[in-house]
Amino acid sequence: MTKVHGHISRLGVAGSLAQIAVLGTIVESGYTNPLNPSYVYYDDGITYIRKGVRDGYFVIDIRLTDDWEGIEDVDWKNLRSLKPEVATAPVLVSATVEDAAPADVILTYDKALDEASTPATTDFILAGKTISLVVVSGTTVTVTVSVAYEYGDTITISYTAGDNPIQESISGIDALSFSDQAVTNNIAETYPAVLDDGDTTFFYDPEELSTITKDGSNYVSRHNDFRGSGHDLLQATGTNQSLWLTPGTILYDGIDNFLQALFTWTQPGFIYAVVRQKTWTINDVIFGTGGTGVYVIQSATTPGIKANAGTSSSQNDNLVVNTWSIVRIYFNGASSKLQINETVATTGNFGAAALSGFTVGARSNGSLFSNIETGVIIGRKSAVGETDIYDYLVERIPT
Amino acid sequence: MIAIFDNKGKAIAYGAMIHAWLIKNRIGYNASRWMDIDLSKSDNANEWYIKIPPDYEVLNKGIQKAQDRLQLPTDANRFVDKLPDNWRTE
Repeated sequence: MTKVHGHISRLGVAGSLAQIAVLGTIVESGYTNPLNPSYVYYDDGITYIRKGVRDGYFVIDIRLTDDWEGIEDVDWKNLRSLKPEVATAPVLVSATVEDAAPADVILTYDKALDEASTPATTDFILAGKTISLVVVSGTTVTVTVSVAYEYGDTITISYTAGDNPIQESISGIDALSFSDQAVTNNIAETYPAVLDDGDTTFFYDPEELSTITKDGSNYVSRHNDFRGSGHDLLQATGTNQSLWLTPGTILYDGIDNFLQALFTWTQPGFIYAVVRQKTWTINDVIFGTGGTGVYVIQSATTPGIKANAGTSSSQNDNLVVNTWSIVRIYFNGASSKLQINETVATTGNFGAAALSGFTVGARSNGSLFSNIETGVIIGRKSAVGETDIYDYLVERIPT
Repeated sequence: MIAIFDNKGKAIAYGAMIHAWLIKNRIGYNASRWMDIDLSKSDNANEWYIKIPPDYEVLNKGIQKAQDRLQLPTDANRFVDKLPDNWRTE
């Protein structure tokens, strides 16, 4: 007796395509006629007979012998019964980018695909990306881009069937082309978890365009807290609006630009900022956070800066002009500090004045404007997680 | 570019004209005003500055009629690139 392992790959209702495959090879294909289910057979050492329709199911028997002499004296085995279905094109179920593989756009279809029919990279369009690879496996098509996506990216994909289209594994029916299909971006936020501990007062990230309101010339009227605290930076006066630059920094002209959020917070207050001094002018204020005497100021000789919450710190000379750096200011009374990157911190008593709101590019009353450019800025109620936050900001320095 | 006026009324008028012109010609311009005249005065309060929109030349190129383009004020006292020192303190 010949051992045969086979499966019914597809059955159809009347008039649709039916196929029988054994060991992955289609051995019979034709149009069904369940209303007249006379037997058929394929004889190449193996015999198949379609017995007919029973209770709405096709019933297929496979004879497990190669010496068939007659239907009445052979060993039949009912292999499988399947609900009749119409052969249809694969339907796109989902399109996602997962956190584990941020360079891969995964298209998932509702049925197995022909892995031998791999579309060309040029059959797909992903705006702003170069497609390096397309792989068909099971029910998925993976489209790989050369530069990975990031959290928050808006992604759409278009597909035009080419010489090797996406198609169903057995019937070969092509999947439909599509245009501007939205892709679900499941890439996780990458900021340190400590920023969710309740101590974060504000978090401004100008790369997050969803947090920026700007006009057609990129002048910023609003920069929202990325995490939704409501401590949003505002500027309603046109001449005072700063300029958003690609891919995500904000330039303050040193003439009259500033952004300001009004809220109350108290010492201790820790400010982290990715910033560069475009130019240095004595007594220009980089950040204000309180009354007119609470600020970080360019003083007294280039490129020096000082922090002041009632008492001026010593001058720190490590914020090199026109060089991106990470500035850390910890307003904490007698235990305050001002530090640039990982250079030696300026420490001491910066005063105990109350903090109030946050102003970028000027003093809190909108004066002493500085010519600076800023990236991510974070305000905290404590020094908890300083190392994690600093390491995160190192990765956020514009290149 | 910054226009310096020695007449408050003329400064107000030119600032208001800039605001109206930007509403018409800068896509998405959503400021409530172009400038605050009280914040634009010098420390000795006898001059007022009005900043010319930095993108005005770019925007002008997209305007067909010459009369609709933003013109620099003819009644300004002078033009400067940076504010003089007498605007540097409260």
